[in-house]
Amino acid sequence: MTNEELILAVKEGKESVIASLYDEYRAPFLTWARRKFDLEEETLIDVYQDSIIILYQNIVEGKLLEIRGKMSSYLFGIGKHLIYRLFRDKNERTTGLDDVNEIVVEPEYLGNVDRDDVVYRLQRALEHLAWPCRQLIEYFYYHNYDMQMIADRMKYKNADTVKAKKSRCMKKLREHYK
Amino acid sequence: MEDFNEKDLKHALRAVMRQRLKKQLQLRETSVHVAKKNAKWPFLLILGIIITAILIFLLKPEEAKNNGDLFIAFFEPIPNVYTPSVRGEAALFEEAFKAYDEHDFEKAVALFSKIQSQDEAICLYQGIAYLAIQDPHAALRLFERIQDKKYRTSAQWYTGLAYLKLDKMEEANRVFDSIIQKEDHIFRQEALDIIRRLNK
Repeated sequence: MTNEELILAVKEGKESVIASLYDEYRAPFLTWARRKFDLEEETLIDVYQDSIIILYQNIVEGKLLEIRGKMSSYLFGIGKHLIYRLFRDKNERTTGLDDVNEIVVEPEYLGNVDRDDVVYRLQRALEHLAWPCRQLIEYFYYHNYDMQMIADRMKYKNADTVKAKKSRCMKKLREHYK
Repeated sequence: MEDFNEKDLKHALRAVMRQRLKKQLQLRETSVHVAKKNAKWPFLLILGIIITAILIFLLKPEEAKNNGDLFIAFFEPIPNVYTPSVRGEAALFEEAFKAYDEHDFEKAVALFSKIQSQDEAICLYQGIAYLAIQDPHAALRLFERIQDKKYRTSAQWYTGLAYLKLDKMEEANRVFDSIIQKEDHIFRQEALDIIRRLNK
């Protein structure tokens, strides 16, 4: 799969591409990370998983519109950021991290979000919602799909049906949030 | 209590999606990559503990009032994380999983039925698709055929949910209890949550 194909698939909401992406770069990432950092295998796998997730979410959120170089270089860059933060949190000295490129790794992945409490409560409320409601809200607010796209994707009759369902789902979300 | 705004909602959705993707990748790691290395059990155990710790933060429905509500609250189709071998049927396989990924479960069920391959991954995903279209009987028939350890973990969880949907509480409890007994079961926390709700 080319970088362009991957970006398109992710933007279309095909979550399953994450598995093939994970398999493709797992071995090169671990080989590179083992050589560069003195960390346990489980930690490296954890970092690799987080790197894949950040890449995926950056595409969904429109922060990553194209990958000009190699996909592996981009992933390794994210991995470096995460390992750097891991070392920094442990107050350890780091080596080989001077060449970290400008790659979007949002601080909220480490939990530093303004209004932490509101977001945490909202997260719990979302988890209490039934799956179709959560999916609809996710498509609308996170993927920024329009009503017609959601209707097509979730097999609803039309955009108006989605609008009505969204309104009911948001009402339920607010009830759970209270 | 402070109300939330759209930015808060986006942050929360990102976190929920992150947890879902993390679980998906952990499942992939244990079922495909660790299995390939002849399953190193100490590592699996550690990973299981990590997964369990993460799952503590996952779904904990508090307001389900009956078994139907519980099913709705806990049922969520897992994305396709396996790669079944379907030689000669690649196009059909691709089409079936496309429908599954797009949550067109009726179409997915119809397409999965046409696949001749005996790969048990097909049983798992077709079973989940049947559950999504409210046919737990058909789902159970498929889950029962799954022997491969790679797929049994997920199949076991969905078997419990199918019994829950059918209101067969004795069978559902037996399945959830069996999941809870396994410290490294990826759905252990969910099973614990369901049992807690059922016993309330």
